[in-house]
Amino acid sequence: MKKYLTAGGLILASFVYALFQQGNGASAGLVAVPAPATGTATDTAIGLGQNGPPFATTTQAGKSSSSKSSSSSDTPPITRGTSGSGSVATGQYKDGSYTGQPQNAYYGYVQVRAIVTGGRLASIQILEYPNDRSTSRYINGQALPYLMREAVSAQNANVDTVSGASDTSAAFRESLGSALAQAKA
Amino acid sequence: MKETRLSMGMPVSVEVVGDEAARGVEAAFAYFTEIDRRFSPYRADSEVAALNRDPHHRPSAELAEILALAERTRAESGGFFDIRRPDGRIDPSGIVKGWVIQKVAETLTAYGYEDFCVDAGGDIALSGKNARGESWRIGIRNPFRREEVVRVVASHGGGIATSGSAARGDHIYNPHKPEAPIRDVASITVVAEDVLTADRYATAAFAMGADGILFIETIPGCEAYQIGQDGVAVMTSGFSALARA
Repeated sequence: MKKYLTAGGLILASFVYALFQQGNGASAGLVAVPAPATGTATDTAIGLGQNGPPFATTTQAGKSSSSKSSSSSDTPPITRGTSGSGSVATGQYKDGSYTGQPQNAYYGYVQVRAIVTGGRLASIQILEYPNDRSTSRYINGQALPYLMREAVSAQNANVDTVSGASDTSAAFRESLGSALAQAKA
Repeated sequence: MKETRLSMGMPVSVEVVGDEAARGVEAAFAYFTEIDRRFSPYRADSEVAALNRDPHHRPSAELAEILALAERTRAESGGFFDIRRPDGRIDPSGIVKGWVIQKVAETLTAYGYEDFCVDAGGDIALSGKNARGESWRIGIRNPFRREEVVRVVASHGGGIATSGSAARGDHIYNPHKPEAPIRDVASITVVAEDVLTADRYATAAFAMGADGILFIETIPGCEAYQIGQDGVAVMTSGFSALARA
């Protein structure tokens, strides 16, 4: 009887061990994911200089690459107050795409990627942006009777440019500043 | 020709259509750079910094114009727009942005350019037609999903500006209740005869919260699209005529 119990225990133990190994294997597989994800984000980027809404990159792909990106750890430190000049984009950058550090904007994190083409800043992708607010709809009692209301919905339209809340927050500046610091020729 | 650069701490895009476009684009960016140097509150050597150090500092003609516009907007908005910070310093960034875009647009017009689009951080001045010879088409960004456009405004001239949550903490707060966050409204986009007007009123209306749209409704020549935190938009009576999906 005791022998069976011991044998059962051994079988159980090896089963648990096998599961554990499998678990490790699975997570090792996941670690390999960020590299293609980074490629996807870059490939699908729609620059500011093209038709269509800017920043129309796949946010999810951007997020996964940004959170796992190893390059952000060797980002040079950000110099405060030097990123606001127009002279920064006059051809002194190396071509490529550079991911800025995520910056705390108090209500969430802001992270951008700068795409440099021909030595100039060609486009800026927003990888991460605060989006913590509920989009659930409810019509509150204090309706404005004579003004038309509608639930917002995405439009499939070609546009020349997009109007949105200003990107002047310090977090935006700093993330972009750290991206461009990497691009310095 | 379209080019995007960083100026005044934000992405600035200038598109000029037609002959000598490159020269127009360069002139536009040169103007942005100069105004940033002179009026940034973040630069110790700027005029604004000098005025904050010494209230008796005599402002230049341009700074005086900006201060007068700020005062006018403060009065028109019942005190909701105010460049005076709770700490007593002034930060005219809320006026300077629209003002400089407007100046660049006027400069391009004076040089003879008819078709252009100047976009600084989502506030836009337009003139004439785009590269395809059509009206400029400006999307209104979904404040909840930045990659989405929720409305499109077609325009052959004038200005469009949006105030919203991204700018909160920078220069928009309710001066009557400085510590209270603005919660009702996610963004308000104002379309006006010029970008300076659009920007001034968008900033003031956003500080008013849900009532901002009613404020814009009272202003002749201005239309607005206000998106609530609940995902419901409300628009002024003339907005639909400007917007085509």
